[in-house]
Amino acid sequence: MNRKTDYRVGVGASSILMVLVVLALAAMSLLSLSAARNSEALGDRALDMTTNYYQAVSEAQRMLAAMDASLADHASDNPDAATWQALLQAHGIPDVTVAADLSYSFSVNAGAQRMLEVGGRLTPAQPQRYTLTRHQLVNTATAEPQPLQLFQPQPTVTP
Amino acid sequence: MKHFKGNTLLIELMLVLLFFALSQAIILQVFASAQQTNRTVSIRNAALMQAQNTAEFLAVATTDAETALLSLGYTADSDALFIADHLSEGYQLTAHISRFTQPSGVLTTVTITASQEGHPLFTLPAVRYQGVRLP
Repeated sequence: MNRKTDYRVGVGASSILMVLVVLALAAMSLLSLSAARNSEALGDRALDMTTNYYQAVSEAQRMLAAMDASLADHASDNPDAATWQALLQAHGIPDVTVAADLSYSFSVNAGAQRMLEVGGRLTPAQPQRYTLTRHQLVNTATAEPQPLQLFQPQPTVTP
Repeated sequence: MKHFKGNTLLIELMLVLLFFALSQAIILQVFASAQQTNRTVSIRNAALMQAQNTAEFLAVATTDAETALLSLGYTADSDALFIADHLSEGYQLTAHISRFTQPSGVLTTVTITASQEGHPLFTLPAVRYQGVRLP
């Protein structure tokens, strides 16, 4: 009549529990490390893009300085657009383009398929020898069309 | 028989504790590595943001680079070297100023370097050309 239910922890239960706990902790630590590595990769990319942008801006400023020096040297000659372009190319600014209305433009590679486009107008006769009207970062990546592989029904031919 | 069972359980518990200790030694290293990576990345991101702020301010400042850096909280270490300590955030910014003067204007180059405990993190150039009006 006096039955006693005896609950005992069997041999091996603690091992199973411990294996599960260790597996859970290992999974969490690996997830944490993976998230940190992803964050680091994102930070690396942001750093690269920022550094490339400021290097492009620096290069553009150096080109403007060289262009201004050339404008100051040859302003009294009153050359036309083609001559200006030749003069600027001779002064180490090969990528600059001068249009007939004396508007100029050049672009500098800013990395990650981006170009820093700079433009304005040459005003060599005025005290400020050029104006800057464009300083724009442009994405040059071409979007490739990725058509969906949809079912194309064939037209039915009726006899 | 009871005596034998008790010994088995004791041995199993000891083995389990040993396994737990060994596995925790490895797992804690992984957690610590993740924590260190996170800390380095967050410090570098904060330094990058501050360096960008400096570069953008220098690009539009109406004063010379030295005055602009002083107004941003940098301290002059020498004539051409300015330092901004962000030790509470774990990094330091140094700005080195160099100038190239030509008859038509001045090209000012400020090289901003971020470092964490003496180790360089990145370098950002901030260049500005200012032409002068010639007669």
